[in-house]
Amino acid sequence: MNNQEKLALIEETLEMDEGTLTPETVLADLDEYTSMAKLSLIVMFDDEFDKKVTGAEVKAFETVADIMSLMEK
Amino acid sequence: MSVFKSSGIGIAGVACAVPKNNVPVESFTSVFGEEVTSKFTSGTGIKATFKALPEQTASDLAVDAAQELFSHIDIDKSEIGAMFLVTQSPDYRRPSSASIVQLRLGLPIDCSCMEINLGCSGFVYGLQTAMAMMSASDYKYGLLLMGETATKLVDPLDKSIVMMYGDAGAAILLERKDGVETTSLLRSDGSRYKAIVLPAGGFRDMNPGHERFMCSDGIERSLYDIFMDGTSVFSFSISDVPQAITDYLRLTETTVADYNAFLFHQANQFIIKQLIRKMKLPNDQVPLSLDRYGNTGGISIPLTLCDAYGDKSGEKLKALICGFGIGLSWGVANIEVDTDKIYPIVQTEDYYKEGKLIPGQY
Repeated sequence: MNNQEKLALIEETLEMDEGTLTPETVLADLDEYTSMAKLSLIVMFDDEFDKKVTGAEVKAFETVADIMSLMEK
Repeated sequence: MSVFKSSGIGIAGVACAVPKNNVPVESFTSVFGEEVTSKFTSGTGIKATFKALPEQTASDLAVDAAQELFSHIDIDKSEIGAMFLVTQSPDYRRPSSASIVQLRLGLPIDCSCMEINLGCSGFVYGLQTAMAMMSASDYKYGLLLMGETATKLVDPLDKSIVMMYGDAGAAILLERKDGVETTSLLRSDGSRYKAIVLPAGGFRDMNPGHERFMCSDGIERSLYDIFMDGTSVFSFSISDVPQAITDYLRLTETTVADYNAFLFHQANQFIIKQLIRKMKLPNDQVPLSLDRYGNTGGISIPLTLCDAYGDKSGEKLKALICGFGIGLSWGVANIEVDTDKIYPIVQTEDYYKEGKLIPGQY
């Protein structure tokens, strides 16, 4: 999965318009980054990457790039 | 694996009680604003809960559920050989509330009574424990009671959980019945004990101050308020829980098609939807009660039974049950029960007035 695809998948998970995120986007600045959005990310990792992401890992996400770094099979 | 089997013990009846006091989520709009309450409902599926009166305890709810059960099933109480009360909201620091419940229900001295301190996994653990005790003796009936009043432990300003918990009690009568086979898979992970915790008031920290501090989820609480790390609990619920169910099916050599109902701890709708999707379960065989009762801890499984099947008759349920939460603790089991033996939920305001001990009276 290339970076464009990863960004698109994060945008879809956070219910944001395509092209609104960059790797540098700070998650705390996003209105969309709610507690439910964090749960949706956990589901996304489970579905798309068969990966169990812990609560601690989600809490450590600061930027979109942090999420992308875990998006490997 | 921690796997347990019981033979020849069946469920003779299930009854549940909730407090009369109904609290709609909308009633919190004045505190948190409309956006918070509507997002809460769309995320969790919870629209209302029942909250105990200040005087009403978990043991009161368990007693009322038992009395409802005995109003349907006429048995000689001297034939009940063991009673278990599953609760994390005891009446006193000691003795256990099982003693108070024994007195109030008029159970004989020859009935062993004890409390089990578990939350959301409590029904699965309690059922297995009650069945194991019964297997080791020859008495006619066993009684599993449950009561919880988690609403009393929540900071009223904690928007993450104050609208989520509901109070309830349950009573399950066990009898000897040929041909019934029950298998339970029980798991526990103490390394995650801080995921749901209420630190103050136990013996590690008996009387700390009541000042509030910022928790890791950005919400202020005191040490006397229950804390839940929602993200970690969610991650647990959609990974360890389906893993246990998968292991259970493999172990019992059964498939989803062997069951006609799936009763999950009513944590929140989002979690249950994920379980349905991951385990490929038929939607119409996964009843929900949390929309009207909230998260009632371990009672949520019998409560969902009574809510979904309390007014039905003539159906034979072969259900897969799964409880998971605080501890962390989780378990999977099968139950067989006729819907004729499942009774509608009752509402109650009763409480044990003599239970409030006054200085000079003892």
